Amino acid sequence: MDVFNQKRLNDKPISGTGIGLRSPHVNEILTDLPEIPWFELLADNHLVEGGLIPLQLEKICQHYPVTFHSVGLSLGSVDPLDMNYLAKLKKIMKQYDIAWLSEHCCFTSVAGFHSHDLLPLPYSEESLSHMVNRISQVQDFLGEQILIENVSSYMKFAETTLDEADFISELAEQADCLLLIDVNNIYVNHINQGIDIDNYLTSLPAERIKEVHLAGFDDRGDFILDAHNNPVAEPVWKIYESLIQQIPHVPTLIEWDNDIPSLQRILDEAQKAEVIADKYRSGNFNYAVS
Amino acid sequence: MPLANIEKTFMDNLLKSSVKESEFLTQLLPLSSLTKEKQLSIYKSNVNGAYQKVLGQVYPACLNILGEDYFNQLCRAYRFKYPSTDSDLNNYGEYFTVFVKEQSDLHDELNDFEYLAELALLEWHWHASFYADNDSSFAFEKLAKVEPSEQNILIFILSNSFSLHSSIYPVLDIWKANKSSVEGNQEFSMPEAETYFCISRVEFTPKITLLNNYQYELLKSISNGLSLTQLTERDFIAAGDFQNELTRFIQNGWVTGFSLLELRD
Repeated sequence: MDVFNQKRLNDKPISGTGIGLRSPHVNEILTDLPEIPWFELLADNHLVEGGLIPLQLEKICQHYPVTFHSVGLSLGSVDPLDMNYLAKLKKIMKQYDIAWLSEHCCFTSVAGFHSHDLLPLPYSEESLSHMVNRISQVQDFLGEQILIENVSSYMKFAETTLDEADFISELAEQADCLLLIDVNNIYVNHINQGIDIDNYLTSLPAERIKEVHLAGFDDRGDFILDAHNNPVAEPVWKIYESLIQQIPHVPTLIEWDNDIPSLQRILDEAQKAEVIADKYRSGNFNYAVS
Repeated sequence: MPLANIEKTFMDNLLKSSVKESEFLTQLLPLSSLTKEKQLSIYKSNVNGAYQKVLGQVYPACLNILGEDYFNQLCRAYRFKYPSTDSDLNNYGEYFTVFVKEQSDLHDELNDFEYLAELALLEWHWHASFYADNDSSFAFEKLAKVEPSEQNILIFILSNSFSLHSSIYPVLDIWKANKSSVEGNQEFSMPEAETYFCISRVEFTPKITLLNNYQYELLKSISNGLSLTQLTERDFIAAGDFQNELTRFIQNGWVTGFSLLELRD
């Protein structure tokens, strides 16, 4: 599986700092074709087969390397996997040569009902075993490794017996999957749950991290919400630097999903990430919007 | 508690109105700044917010007419009555039109909005039209090969993006004045006769076309699956130019194909 995955990574280089493609920017991007190293697309928005959406996907993929980020696999759910959803993902990934698929360490649906929110799991042996089995099923079906992202959580389960970082690391090892580490989520969980950031970062298997996410949170007073509606906060940049100096060539992505600003504003964030990562590697990427 | 029970009780708390929180809260531990109740309420708020956002995007005119507070109340009630059973969030609002009709029958404050269910139906089909599957091109060559004896088994197929509407209310005017924001004079005169129109996608953009009574009846008969022979036998058919109208429907991309009910040798 590693060999297969490596081939795809080489064919479609995902490197430097990309951004999440959002609909207010699509026309500007397709008209001006700004120099952006890669895009991450929310896969769930691109599973429709008619109208404008598939055409936009095709055009973006003609000009940029693209990865898929999904929210609908519901890997942690005790429901059977939605094979129709998975088959659609596989078909479109193959059709447009999508570099890889990432999903979340959570569940979004159960008993046939969908929350459309990333619901946390208790970090227990039962959850671990269940997630390992589900990720293996998905990877076998797709014929390649997927990336699993740590989620923000506002809940502490009595059934939890493992630290989040240990759970994620063990999951990656047992399922032989890759990791997408969201630095903002680490910070959110640090503030809301008191997790130890240094311990978290040193516990992660660096060789399995293939993507890093950066985003902004919303301060709600008694907690902070992973709202993706603000610039990346200073404490998050500091955690990012601690992480990226260990893995300077791992691609980073800027996510901004609510109160979406101009494309240039998001590219400014990407440039900031590049400057930090570049301190630990040679060569960087110049972001130019015409 | 097993994982399956935790997930089930968690989801029940998010999507059902009459669930007691206590069973699920026993599965949580307090955090220094978040009580167990607060932890659950954050997820309730997140889910509710996501659903409200989607419904507001699909039904902007309903939102503008009812105002944010009342519309959000409807969204909360809708979440409990019709929880999402589809991973595609675009489909979440599918039953909102039915729900609005149900609520209109139940609540006096909606008496002034008799048109609301029809307006919601318009908005839903406008949204659905954008995301509808592409159609194949009309197979004129195959149609030319259909034998006259097969006309009784030939039925026409409408575009995936097509929907047919009728209303005794000025829903089109109301929609146009409220779909982006509340614009202009909000007094609308009742039309003298029932209004007929259809929604279909032209290339990538949904479009509304007004229809006359003949076109509406013909399209309704086609959507009801009447065969070509049955269409030509309808009482109203002689009142217009059937062939010309059918040609226009095909040219407009409303009728996109046909099928034969039985297979030929």
